[in-house]
Amino acid sequence: MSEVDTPIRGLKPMMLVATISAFALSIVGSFHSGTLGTTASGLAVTTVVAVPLLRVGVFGAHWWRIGDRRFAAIAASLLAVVGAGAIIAFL
Amino acid sequence: MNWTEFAFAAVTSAIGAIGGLGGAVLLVPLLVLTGTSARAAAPLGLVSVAAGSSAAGARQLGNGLVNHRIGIATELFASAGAVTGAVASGLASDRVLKFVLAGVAFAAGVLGARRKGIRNQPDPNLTSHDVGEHVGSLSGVYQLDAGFVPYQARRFRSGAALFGLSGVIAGLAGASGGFVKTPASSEVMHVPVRVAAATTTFTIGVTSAAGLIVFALQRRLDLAACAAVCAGSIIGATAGAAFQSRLAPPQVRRFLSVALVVVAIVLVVRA
Repeated sequence: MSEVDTPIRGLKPMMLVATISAFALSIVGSFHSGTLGTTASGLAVTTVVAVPLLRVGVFGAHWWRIGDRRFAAIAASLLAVVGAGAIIAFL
Repeated sequence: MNWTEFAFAAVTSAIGAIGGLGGAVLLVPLLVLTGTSARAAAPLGLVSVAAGSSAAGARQLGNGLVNHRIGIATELFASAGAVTGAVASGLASDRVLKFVLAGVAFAAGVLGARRKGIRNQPDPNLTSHDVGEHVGSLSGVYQLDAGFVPYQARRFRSGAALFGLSGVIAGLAGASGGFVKTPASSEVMHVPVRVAAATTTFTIGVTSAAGLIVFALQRRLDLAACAAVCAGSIIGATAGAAFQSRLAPPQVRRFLSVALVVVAIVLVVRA
């Protein structure tokens, strides 16, 4: 039987906090105009974009620590693809 | 407050969460039909996907259904597709994007109605200690009622090609591409439907993040509308997940499939 990977502690509460934060920021952004509203809306979008990428990074680091180097490299490659897309769009 | 975007996002995310197809595939056509340009609606669709994926993430981490190795390995191709699609959508006309959207809505409707049931069977030798994903491979065990079901992903190359296609769809149309990913995982790669659906919920968040970064750099984000969609999607996805056990997902999927085909026809007629 293959070895079962252990769950990562702290990831679940981190995601819960991030989702609640994104919701609170989006509510502030929806009801306030001007700089406060724009900043809150921008932070809400940034949060929902960052959460899945952070999750990939956390799993990549976890796999590296437990010696699953092949999948750690795949996770790093995925983040590199997203980064390359940003550079292409910026250019 | 952009109440139209908020209400559409809440309702479509709830229906999408119950039906397992994702809400953006319905949200984006609805926004286009009510006057938003396809170019502006696509980023809002991806915000809805990312918000819904985040809302579901915390709940799904505890049940051992998400296989992150399968998700991240296949997502490599989906994200490359999403970046390609998002860059290409900046060059395409609104009329072309409407036709793409109609094709996506039609395909989602047809594929959603054809979803199958359980393929893998429980193994009596397995216990709750075996639940989870396996180190170094695309395999794992998940709990199904009182039993424990082993699985192993197959035909990775074919699945990866379909994931790349789903990414292009997400980048072009702003829909999640989950209606391609879940069948690709379950029917092509033989991953159990429940694992495939949970893993897809995680990966569509990554795909949408990749697309949204491109859209942000193209200055295509209306932040006020994004905030309304984000709030609506988190409420809708959370409510939909809570009601999922009380309603019959096959019936909701059938309703959603019919609605998507109708939306596709209206989009083509009005394009």
